[in-house]
Amino acid sequence: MAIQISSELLDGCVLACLKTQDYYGYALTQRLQASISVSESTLYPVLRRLKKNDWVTTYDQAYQGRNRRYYQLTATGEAQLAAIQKEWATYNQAINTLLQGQGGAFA
Amino acid sequence: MNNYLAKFNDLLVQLNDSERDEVVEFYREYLLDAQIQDYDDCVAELGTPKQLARKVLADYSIRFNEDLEGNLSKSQQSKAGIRAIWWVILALISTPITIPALLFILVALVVVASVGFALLVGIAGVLFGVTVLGIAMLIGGVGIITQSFWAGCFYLGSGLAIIGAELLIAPLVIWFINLIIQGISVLVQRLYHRFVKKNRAERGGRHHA
Repeated sequence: MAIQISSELLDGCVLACLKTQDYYGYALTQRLQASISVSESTLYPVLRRLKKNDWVTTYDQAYQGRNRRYYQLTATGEAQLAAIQKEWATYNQAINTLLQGQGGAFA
Repeated sequence: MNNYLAKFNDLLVQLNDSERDEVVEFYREYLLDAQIQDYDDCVAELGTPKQLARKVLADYSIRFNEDLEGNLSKSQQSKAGIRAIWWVILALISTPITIPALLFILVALVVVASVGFALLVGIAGVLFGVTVLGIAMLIGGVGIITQSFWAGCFYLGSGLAIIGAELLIAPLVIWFINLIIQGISVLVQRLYHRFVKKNRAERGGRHHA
């Protein structure tokens, strides 16, 4: 994919995934990779940052004699997601207008 | 896989214990869930332990720098900046990139470093010279004050004024030096993001079910 996703948008995508359900690292990577180009070596810093900002919390669950670390959306994380969604809606519209060559009011 | 993670773990000595454990656990869990066992398969997925470690460390330092912008004193920022430059250089060296790109980056780094160094040396030289001048005037003033009172006063006053002015502008100079270091750090980080090639996993392909 030629267009690189910004870290704010990636934050938003991860938060949005976590809004539907709790994920562990690999499942979350798979979920994101089904739609966009992203890797676990990108995802780890993202999750770390989200956790540091208290947008997600983690809990461990036993699975086949080992632990899986699940990531869960917090209330502040949900607010952050709403903020990112709103920003994106505006940005998305602006870019679409430009890409389609419309809205040249000053031309 | 354990062998891979052990090597990875050993390369993360700069992180504190809890950070290191968290990173390594994340990748252990990932590889287990991805059902990747062989060392070679791990390398195909994540790059060599060295590449992964450099990437993690460079990322830590860079994020660290971004996070703390504004919350830290300038000197702490400079230290973080210097550390970021260092990790980026190491990350670049450990990354397989084409020779022309590598050469270009090296030349750019050398140029940036030379300019920064020249500026720092220049500032240090000027400061040193002015300090010596001030002290010399003070000593000279004391020396001739018995022969010519007013000339002595003139030299003493000039010396004190020079040293005083220097103390006044010192914060400005320190701020400027920090600015230079920060600038170089940001530049090097941009270079890093521009040129580092991504491994298979990062290009987004799924090679293991």
